[in-house]
Amino acid sequence: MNGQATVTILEVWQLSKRFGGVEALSCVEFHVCDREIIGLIGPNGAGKTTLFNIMSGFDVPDEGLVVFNGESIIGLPPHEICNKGITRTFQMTRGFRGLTVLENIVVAALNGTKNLSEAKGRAREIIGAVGLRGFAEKRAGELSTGYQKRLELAKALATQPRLLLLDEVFTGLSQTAIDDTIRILESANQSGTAIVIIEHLMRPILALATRVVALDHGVKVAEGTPQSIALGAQHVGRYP
Amino acid sequence: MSGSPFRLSGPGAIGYVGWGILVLAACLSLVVPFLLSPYVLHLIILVLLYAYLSQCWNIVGGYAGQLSLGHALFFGTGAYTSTLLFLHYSVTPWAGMLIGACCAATLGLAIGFLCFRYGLKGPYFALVTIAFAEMARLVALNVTVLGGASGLQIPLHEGAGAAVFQLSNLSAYYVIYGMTILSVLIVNAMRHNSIGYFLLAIREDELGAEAVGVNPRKYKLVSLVASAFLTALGGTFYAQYYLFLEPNSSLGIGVSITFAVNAIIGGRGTILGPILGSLLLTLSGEFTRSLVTYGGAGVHMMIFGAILMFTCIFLPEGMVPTIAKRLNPKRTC
Repeated sequence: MNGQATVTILEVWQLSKRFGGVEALSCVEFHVCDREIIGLIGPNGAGKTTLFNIMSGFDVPDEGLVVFNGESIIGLPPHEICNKGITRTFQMTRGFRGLTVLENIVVAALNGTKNLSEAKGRAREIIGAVGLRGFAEKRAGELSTGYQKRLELAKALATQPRLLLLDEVFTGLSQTAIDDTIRILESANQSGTAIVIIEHLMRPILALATRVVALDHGVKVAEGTPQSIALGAQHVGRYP
Repeated sequence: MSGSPFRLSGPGAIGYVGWGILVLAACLSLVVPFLLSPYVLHLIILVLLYAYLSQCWNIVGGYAGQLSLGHALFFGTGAYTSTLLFLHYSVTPWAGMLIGACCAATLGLAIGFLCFRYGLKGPYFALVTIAFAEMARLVALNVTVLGGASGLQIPLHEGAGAAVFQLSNLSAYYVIYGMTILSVLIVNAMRHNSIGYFLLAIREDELGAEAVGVNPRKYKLVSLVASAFLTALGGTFYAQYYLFLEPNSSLGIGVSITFAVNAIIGGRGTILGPILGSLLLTLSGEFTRSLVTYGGAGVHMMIFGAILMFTCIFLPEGMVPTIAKRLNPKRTC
């Protein structure tokens, strides 16, 4: 990040979602600026993934608004939202298990182009960038969990998102893999992608995020710099 | 290593060896029919017809992963449409073929729209396709114009371009042979186009595909319509070749299951799968029938069933992927 990010690309207004009697989200508001990296933290069941589901079109809110590039995206199907520039990853990775790693990325790279050779070219670039080149012809189902997470990230990057929503891409990775992933995200960010990261591990959040939003029981309980939030969280004993 | 010679399997690729076998078979089969007895030629026509029909099923059932068990609807629609046009208006089967295919494609569009709009998947989609095919069978059984239970006889007719299908096995052979080649070329082109990638992605994980910008409803619909269109062409061939059309053998669930089982046993989502599946199952079906000639009606079905069980147990992914693994155990696909 260089200098101040000024242009807001995503705004979330008064978002509420109930599942039966459970208030998964209540009146959550936040925004993402162009090229910004935001950490979204909170204990299990805080509503982080529900928020992602709504922002990516996999769920609709009971109340509230999500505005991306000046237009509401509530009610749009996930593929259209992806076409518009928001791509999310899943906590439980959703690789196309029977396809090769390269083919997985090609599918994602076809977002925004109908030209297969162009998509293949981009997929080859990305497969190198995320360190999966040696696995290009392996089936996705045969990868270890760590590499499946990388593939999930590679697919998301291949769609060329303006805003990337990452749901626990660091969890379960080795230290070196975490460092690699941090580097990959830094370079994606430098080439213009804003990122929202859901993560329980504080190290990647501290390394990447310029701002942190904390949720608890569906309510935004804090927002600020990573350092201030980490300090506050330690006080209430949530993060050792 | 996309140029690996043993890429028989992989998601739908067939590789050098696969293409070699196909081209060799294609050349041989242009010449061989002159030397064969009418019965053997008839068997080969059956193998090709079911290879063609299973290949059509493979588009939606294998590549897009939508288990249709109602393809008899499209098959029968093609057969009945062209036959009625031929009987009542002397329309050449060639034109009837295309008109029937358009009717079937329209039905496919309607059914697909309903199913995919309301998110029917897996067994639910299969049940709906069965239901529509059964409705069509009941209609054909009870409507006089459609011949009812006694069916429609197609008279031998030298005019109207029908002679090709009717008068000699040899010319019928070349027609179905061309259709089979065409289906292979279409599926191969589809596989190497973006739509092939989309269909496979949808088959593997529909939500995951949506998340990376693929519109599942649209591409499932496209695959069903294309499959319905092509399947109906086979229906016209069937009617003109047998010169007889009857609801149970053209719209019955057994017909749908045959298309699906050939492709599944051969290896669904592969190009060679439906061809090998049809070869194995059509021939073994005919062979077991000839084993038990009198007094043992139904015994041949038991033997056929045993063959099916054997292939399901020992070739669980289908013939093509299993063979490909044997040929090249190092490859992980």
